[in-house]
Amino acid sequence: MIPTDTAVAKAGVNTIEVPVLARVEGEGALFIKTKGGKLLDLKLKIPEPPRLFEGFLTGRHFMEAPDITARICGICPIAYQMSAVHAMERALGVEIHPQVRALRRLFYCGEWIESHALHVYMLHAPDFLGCQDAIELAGTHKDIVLQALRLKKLGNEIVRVLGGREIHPVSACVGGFYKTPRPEDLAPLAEELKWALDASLATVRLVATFPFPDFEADYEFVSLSHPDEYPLCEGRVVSNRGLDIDPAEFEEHSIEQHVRHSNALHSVLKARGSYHVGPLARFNLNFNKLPEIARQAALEAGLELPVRNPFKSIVVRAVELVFACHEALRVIGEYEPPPKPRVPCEPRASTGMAATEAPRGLLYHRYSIDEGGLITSARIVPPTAQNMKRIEEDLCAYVPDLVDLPNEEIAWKAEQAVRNYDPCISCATHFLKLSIDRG
Amino acid sequence: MPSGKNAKKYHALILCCGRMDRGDDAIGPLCAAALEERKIPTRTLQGETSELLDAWQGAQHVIVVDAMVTGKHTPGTLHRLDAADASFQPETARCSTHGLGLSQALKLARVLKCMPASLILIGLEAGQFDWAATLSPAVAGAMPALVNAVEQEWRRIAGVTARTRANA
Repeated sequence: MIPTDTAVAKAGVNTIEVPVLARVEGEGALFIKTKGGKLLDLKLKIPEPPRLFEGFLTGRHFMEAPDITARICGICPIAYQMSAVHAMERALGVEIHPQVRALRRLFYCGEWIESHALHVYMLHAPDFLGCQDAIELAGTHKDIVLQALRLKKLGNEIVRVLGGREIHPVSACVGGFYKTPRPEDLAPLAEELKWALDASLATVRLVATFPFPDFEADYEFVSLSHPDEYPLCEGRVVSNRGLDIDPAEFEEHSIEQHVRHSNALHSVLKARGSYHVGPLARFNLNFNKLPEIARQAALEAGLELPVRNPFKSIVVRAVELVFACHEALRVIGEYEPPPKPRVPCEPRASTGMAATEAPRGLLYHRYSIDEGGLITSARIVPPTAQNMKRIEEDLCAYVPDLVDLPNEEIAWKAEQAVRNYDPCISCATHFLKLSIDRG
Repeated sequence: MPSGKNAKKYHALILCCGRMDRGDDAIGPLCAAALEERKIPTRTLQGETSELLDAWQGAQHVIVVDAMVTGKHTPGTLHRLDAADASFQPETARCSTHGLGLSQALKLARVLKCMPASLILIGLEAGQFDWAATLSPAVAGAMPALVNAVEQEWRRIAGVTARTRANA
């Protein structure tokens, strides 16, 4: 995105505005103010209107939550469905069949593949290869773009086979799926996944050669952690600074703050402040749970734990592509249809919380339902809201080194720093529920 | 892996893009419903780049129906654009999924040389894409003209295809 001509040299103050950030989902805008080579002010503004999903979930039947929340995002609907179904199942004390659990991991892998393929190749790689966008990239690196399209198509296809359609799938439900696939439905996916696994390994090798800015930050990484698996749907919420809680305790530790310049809330840990969710956090906190093939690819790519350079998130996303393809192949190889697609869920007055790992990080849902199964309150904390404060802090640390550059270049590099997080601003835009204490 | 579903089955593939819950963006799916009533096969898409590229893979002739914004015409104005015309340079809208939509699909298809032999865009000038809104009155009034235009285009291509086959 080229900055507008609003840069003014007034009393030595240089103001750069990037009114619309390119290649991030939704609308965001960045405001930077410098004077005498020093950063005076920096704000990541989210002008997109609040979405109010939590408000209109209230009064709806608990079985509707996965389908309603899937509508929050066109790129990560599975994440919303999975957090919703797990929260409801925890509220109702429902145990799902192990094969249904495995299918959910496959479903989620489909979303990771389509989302990561889109971001690694089409949105993030152009930054490192000196291209404005994927169109220019297609002219200079045709094979990369064709590979991205094929990987994305595979991810879409996994979602379609399990979810009934590619965007806003409809088959996942509280208790399981409305319909589960036959083994022969999954077999064609396995063939393409074998190609995708090789393509992902090649992707790790390719992106590891990109030139990365010399930038690191001392993050508190937060992700799910499961004793045996690289996290997708289940686990405790852990950090590199001692956080180790059940998802039900999440709101006791993480709070959302409203800031004047943004419609997206900023999450902080009560005890320590900003934190970082997403591929870097998952990778750093769960490296030993990755399959050998992904660990090996990461080490050969020169990744050293903990990865603190957010620009290297592109390499970590590629490693997670390897994981997702490998995991999808594992699930398909071991799949036997469950006896029933779903277990019945009887409503009862209860509250349930769950977190799952969306492609761009931890996604927390909480629901309370009444004895008739109607939702009485809902809370959704998307990953981009959790990262928003951290993105601003990255920019505050990164931009001072850039202030001598022309405005266009500062804007371009700052946008890249935002894209490290693959922010999904549409998801992050909701609003505070107002309560007034008149004491 | 299914690819380019229905692409080879009909002489011209009609892809109707848009969402029912975003104001004038609904002209695509509404046009598809009207054409289906006339027994003309269509496919409805959201309009995401890889979805479009995949949908027209292997197709000779494609008609894409979508809401358009030129900013130079009043809402409801009927547009017909030939994507094969090099002078046609689609601009990127800011409201598409993850920033990649129809215009990027057209640009990518040109660069990757995977454009169909003919790709005609037919649509109406949109007035608004508000959440949960219905069509603007002017756009709703122009819907019959849009449906007729798409049918005419489809029949025109059928004639061209039939003549090509007869001459072969």
